[in-house]
Amino acid sequence: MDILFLLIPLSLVLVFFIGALFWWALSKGQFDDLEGPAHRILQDDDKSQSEVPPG
Amino acid sequence: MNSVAMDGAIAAAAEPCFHCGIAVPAGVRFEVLFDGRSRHLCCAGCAAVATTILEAGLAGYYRDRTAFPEGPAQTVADSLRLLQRYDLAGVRERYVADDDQDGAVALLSLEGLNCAACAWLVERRLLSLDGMREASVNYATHRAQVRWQRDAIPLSDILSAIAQVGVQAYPADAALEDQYRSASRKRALWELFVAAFAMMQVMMYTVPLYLADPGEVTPDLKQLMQWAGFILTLPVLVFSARPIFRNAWHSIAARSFGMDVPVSLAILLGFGASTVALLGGGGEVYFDSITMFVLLLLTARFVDSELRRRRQRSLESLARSLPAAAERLTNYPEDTCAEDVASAALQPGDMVRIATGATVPADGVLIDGVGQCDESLLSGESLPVPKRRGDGVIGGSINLGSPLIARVTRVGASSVMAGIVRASEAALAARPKLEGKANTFAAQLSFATVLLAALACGAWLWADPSRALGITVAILAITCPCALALAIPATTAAAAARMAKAGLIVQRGRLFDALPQVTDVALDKTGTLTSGNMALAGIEAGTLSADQALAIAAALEIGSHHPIARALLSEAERRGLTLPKATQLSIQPDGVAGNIAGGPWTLGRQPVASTGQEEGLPRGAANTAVLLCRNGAPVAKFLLQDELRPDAADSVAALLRRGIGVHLLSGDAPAPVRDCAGQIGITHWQAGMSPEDKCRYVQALQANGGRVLAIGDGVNDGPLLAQANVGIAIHGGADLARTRADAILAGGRLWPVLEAIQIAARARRTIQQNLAWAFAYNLVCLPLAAAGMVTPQFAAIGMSASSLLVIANAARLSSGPR
Repeated sequence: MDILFLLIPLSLVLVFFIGALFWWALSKGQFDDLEGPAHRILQDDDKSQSEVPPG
Repeated sequence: MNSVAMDGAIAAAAEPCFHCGIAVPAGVRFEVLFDGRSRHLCCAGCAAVATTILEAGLAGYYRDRTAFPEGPAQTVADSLRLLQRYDLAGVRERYVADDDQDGAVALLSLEGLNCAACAWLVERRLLSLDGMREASVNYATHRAQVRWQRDAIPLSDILSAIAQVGVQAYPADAALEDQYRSASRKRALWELFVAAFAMMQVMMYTVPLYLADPGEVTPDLKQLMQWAGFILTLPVLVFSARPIFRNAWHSIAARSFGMDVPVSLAILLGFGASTVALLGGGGEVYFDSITMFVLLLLTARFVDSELRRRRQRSLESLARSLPAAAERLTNYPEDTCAEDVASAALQPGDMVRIATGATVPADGVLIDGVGQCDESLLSGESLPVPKRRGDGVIGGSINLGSPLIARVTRVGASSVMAGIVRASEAALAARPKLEGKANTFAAQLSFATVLLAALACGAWLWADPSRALGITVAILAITCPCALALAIPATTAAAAARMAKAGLIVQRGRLFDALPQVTDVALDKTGTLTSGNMALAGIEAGTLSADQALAIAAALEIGSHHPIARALLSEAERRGLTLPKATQLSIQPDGVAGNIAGGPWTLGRQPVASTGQEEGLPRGAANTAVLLCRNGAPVAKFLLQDELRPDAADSVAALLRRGIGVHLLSGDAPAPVRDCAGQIGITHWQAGMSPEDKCRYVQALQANGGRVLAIGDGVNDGPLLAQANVGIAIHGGADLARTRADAILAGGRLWPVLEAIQIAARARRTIQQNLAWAFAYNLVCLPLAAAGMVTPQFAAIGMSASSLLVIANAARLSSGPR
């Protein structure tokens, strides 16, 4: 049972760490748009430069 | 497409539009070059958009997109002038905020954002503008945030740049945006999250202590776990429970004794006693109870405020319906030079021009022009209202006819729109009566609790000081009216969620009081039992064939959005008719006119009520006849009927089976109302009723002990919905009707009303059970706690269990049988 003396404080640290992580993610807008960025990564900004429309 | 060397017209007919994907009409030739091959486009709008996209080097959009736009792009030139109004002083300030010393920031609402590639396209397009600093498109919310150098780009250029790639952008009103993402909601979510997270973790440290056999947990391990609980309770106390403490403080300051006072006392005393115990002062530790207590309270409050927020959203569409700018005629009637001004700057007496398709900027009187206005947003009248000189026009309605000139009569707070918004706000503020009673009762109980705890504390200080603190905390915790306060909101929230799933959106809690006791249902006909969509029921053609007459009529109606036009056009399309070419089309107050093959034709509405010829109509709710005239002489007659809602007959039958009387109250002529009533099996019907008649009818029912549920959609139904014990509005109807209603039917079906009646009956039973439980629990536990027979630990468990029981009982509503 002695391991608990290590694990319980450790779990406390983890709780605060996870809480802070979630707070950071939320405030940085990580949850604002769950769909767009997944597609955006696939879109090249440079691929289409060769395209020239008529006229 | 294996051969490019086809005849252009055939290729065009076979290949869908490169930009929007609809079939390219024969004979239309617009092309762009993409991937080394010429692509065909359906119209000038799509061609302009595609050219802009390709020229800007954004061809990746066409490669990566996963959906076509909703329809052909509009030509930008039309909307450009409208967009420039956003640059006007007084209008601009409403949408654009200052960023730093020379920057501006605005939030844009995007329409036509159909796939993630569009979001990328808009972003690229914005960033290509000179002076643009930052543009980020949120695909999930269809919003774009842009920051730019204030003097480098006018707002209209930003909007038109987006329009050029086929997406419509409107600046979002900052004040309205705030309601959505208000900081307070974010904070409430955080408080809830912290409380939930801490509660789970504290339980992890506490439950083993409860479950362990005596001696299994060494004293120092126990102390460690208790210290861990203490550390995790701190954020709950100083962060999550803040609103509770604040409310308690306010209620003390206002000398009204709210439920938050004993709650705060219990939390603080509990925490204090636990901390004393932890520091070796003796007694029990119950951080688990404190955190759970806070979590339960915050959850109930959050659910409640979310329900309110949802109700508030119906206001948003209303406030947005007034245009930001208007065309003011400064020198009318000498000339008709117009200047663009902010709608807010209009004064009574100003002359304004309202272009075709534009929104009327303020209430006024028509001075010149004839036309039709779509007032459906305000009145729920699904058919456009004919307007002649001298008629009133309402701000927020849309001019469907030729341009109008009106004199402004009312602006600002005295306008019809402002009245509707005020009515809505008042409706939002109302609370269910039963809940109000329970809250008063809970407050009184709270007061009694604190008093009793103080008395008990005094008595125990005298008898046995070592136990006084523990017993006081036990009394405060165990008798916390938490379960009592939760009993109603938890149940109504669960019932509201269940009803929303069925298709009925609850706006006001009084619905739960009255719905289970309903004895009579009063229905409106048009728009309620019927869907408001017209369908062609018959054609009486004399010399012409039915198809010929229909083709001519449809040709006259091309471009019109009137329900009659839609019915004629869709029927002509169904029959595959080729429409003749109509010229000089004009919109008349009650119809359309135009030239076909050299002759003047008119197509006009002929209300059945005025002809008295309804006997010959086919079975059903036919209620409109349209006459096609050549040189003023009738040639053909079209009979249109308002389609019954598909589940109207079933719903009425089911209501009757439950022993509920069904009454059809309509303002229409007797014949169609009788037909409609006969068709769905309603025996009580009355036609030709004014809104006052309907109200009196309901009053008479109520005088005989009836409890009336009214269902309607129009502004005429507003008084009816308010008079009835429960009023339900149909979604898409007038906002005024919606604001007076206790609930809104979504999805155009009536059946949810029946489900709602059943759910409300169950909710009522659940509320009674919950209240009975909460009351009995307090009655039993209070003396036990005061007598010192309940440890604080057990009190906390009892309180939590009681609250959980109430919540679980309420949650049964959202699942389980109907």
